[in-house]
Amino acid sequence: MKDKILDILKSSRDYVSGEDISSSLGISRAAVWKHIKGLKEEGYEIESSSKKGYRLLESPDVLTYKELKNLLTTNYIGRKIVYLESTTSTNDIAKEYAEKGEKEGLVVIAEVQTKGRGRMGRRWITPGRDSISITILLRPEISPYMAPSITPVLAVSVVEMLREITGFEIGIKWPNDVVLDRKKVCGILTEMSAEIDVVKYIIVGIGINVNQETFDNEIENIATSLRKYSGKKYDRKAILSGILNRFERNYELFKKEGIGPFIEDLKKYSVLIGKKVLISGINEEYEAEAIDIDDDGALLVRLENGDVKKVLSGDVSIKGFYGYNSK
Amino acid sequence: MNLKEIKELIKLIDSSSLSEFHLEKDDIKLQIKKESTVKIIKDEKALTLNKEEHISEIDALKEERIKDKEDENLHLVKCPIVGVFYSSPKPDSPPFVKVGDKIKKGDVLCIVEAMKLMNEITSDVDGEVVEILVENQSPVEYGQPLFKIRKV
Repeated sequence: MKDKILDILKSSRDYVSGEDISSSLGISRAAVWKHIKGLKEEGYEIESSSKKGYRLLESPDVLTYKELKNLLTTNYIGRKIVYLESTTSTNDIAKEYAEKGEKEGLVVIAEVQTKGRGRMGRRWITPGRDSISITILLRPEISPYMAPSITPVLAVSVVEMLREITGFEIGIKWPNDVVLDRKKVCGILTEMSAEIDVVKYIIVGIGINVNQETFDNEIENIATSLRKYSGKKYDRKAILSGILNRFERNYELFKKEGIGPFIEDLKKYSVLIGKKVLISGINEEYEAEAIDIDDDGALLVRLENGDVKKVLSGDVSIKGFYGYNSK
Repeated sequence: MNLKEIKELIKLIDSSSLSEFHLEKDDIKLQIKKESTVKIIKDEKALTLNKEEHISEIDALKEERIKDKEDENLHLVKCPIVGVFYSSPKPDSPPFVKVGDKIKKGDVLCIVEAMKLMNEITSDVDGEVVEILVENQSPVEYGQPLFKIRKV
C-alpha cells in the first residue's frame, strides 16, 4: 500500500490531496497519513499541506526496487532486487540465493559491504551511498568454457553506459577493470559454479565508484570516482538501471552469438592495446607489448623475442596506471 | 583258448570303447589294457594342467573385476575451462581440500581462473580425496582430470 501511495506521488509533480489518495486506493485518510509517515521515515521528502495534500519533493538516494523499477526496461535482470543496507559481500549473498535455486536475474545490492572482495581475496571498499555495489545472478545454458567471456560483455555494457551518461573517456583495462583517468572506476568480479559440462550459476559482482570525494591513502593512486574526477555528483539510480538495461540486451546477444559481436568494442575501449605492459603471472613476470584482443576475448601480447602469446591469467600492469611505474 | 581266439578278442576290444578287459576262464587269466587308456590318462593330466591354468586365468579375471570395481568407485573431477588451478581461496590460506579429506557433493575442491573469472569447482560425488592431480597455480586444460575421488 505504501508503494502504491509512492507511485501516485511520483506520477504527479504537484500536490495530491489525501482524499484523492484515499478514494483511489480505498483506504481511510488516516491510513494514508500513516503510510506517508512511513515513507518519510524511509527518507522520502514529502511536503504535506492541510489544504493541498501531499507532494513528493525528493526521493532518497537508495537503490531499492521501488526506486529503480520505473527506470528499468529489462525483462528479468533486476526484476527481483535484494536491497541491503549493509552486508558482508553481495557476491556471498547472491551465492547463497543461487545455491537455494533462485532464478536468473536476481540482483543483490548493498550500500555498505564489510567484506567486499576482489580477486584472490583482495579487498573492495564500499563506503555507504557513494558507490554502487551489486551482484547479478545468471544461469546461462552455455558451456562452462564460454563463461569467462561474460566479464568482458559486462565491461562493455558498463563502459557504454558510463560514457553515455558522463561523456568521459572511459576504457577497459583487460579483462575486468573499467578505468577513468588511469585509475579504476569500476571493478568486476565474476564467479562461477560449474561441473564439466554444466554451468550451475554465474554471479557477477560489480563495484562502481560514483560519488566518493576522497579515497584512503592505500588506494588513492589506484581508484577514482566519477565525482572525484569531475567534481560533479552523479545519479546512482540512472547509472545502475542504465547498466542493467544495457547488460540484459548484451547478455541475450552473447548467449546467441558468443563474444564475437563484442570484440570490436573490446578493442575500441581497450586501454592496453599498443602499450608496453607487465604481465604478473603466478610463477613468472614478463614485459610485453599488448597487441590485440583475440576472438575469445583473450589478450594477445608480443614478447621481446617477437613471439605472440595469449594471456589467460595473471595481472596486467601498464605504465602510468594505478600508480605503477615501469623501469 | 587258443592264440587265435585271443587275437580275435584283442581285435574286438580294440574296436570297442572298452579300455580294460579281464577274463578268467579255467586256468586262463587274461587282462587286456588298451594303450589308448594310457593316452587318455595323459590327456587327463593335460586337462588337469589346463584346468589349473584356467583357474589362474579366472583368478586374474576376478582380480581384474575387483580392480574394475575399485575403479568404478574412483571418480575423476575434470576441469570445465582452460585456466589456472588454485588449491586455496587466497594465496596465503589453507587449501580447500587435502588428500585423505572426506568430502560431500557440492563441496568446493578448487578454483580455476580464466580471464579473472573465478570458477569454483565443486565435487559431484560424496567421497574421499585420493589424489590431487594438478599442482597449485599451474595451467589446466579443458577436460583435464583434477582430482581422484573414491566414492562412498
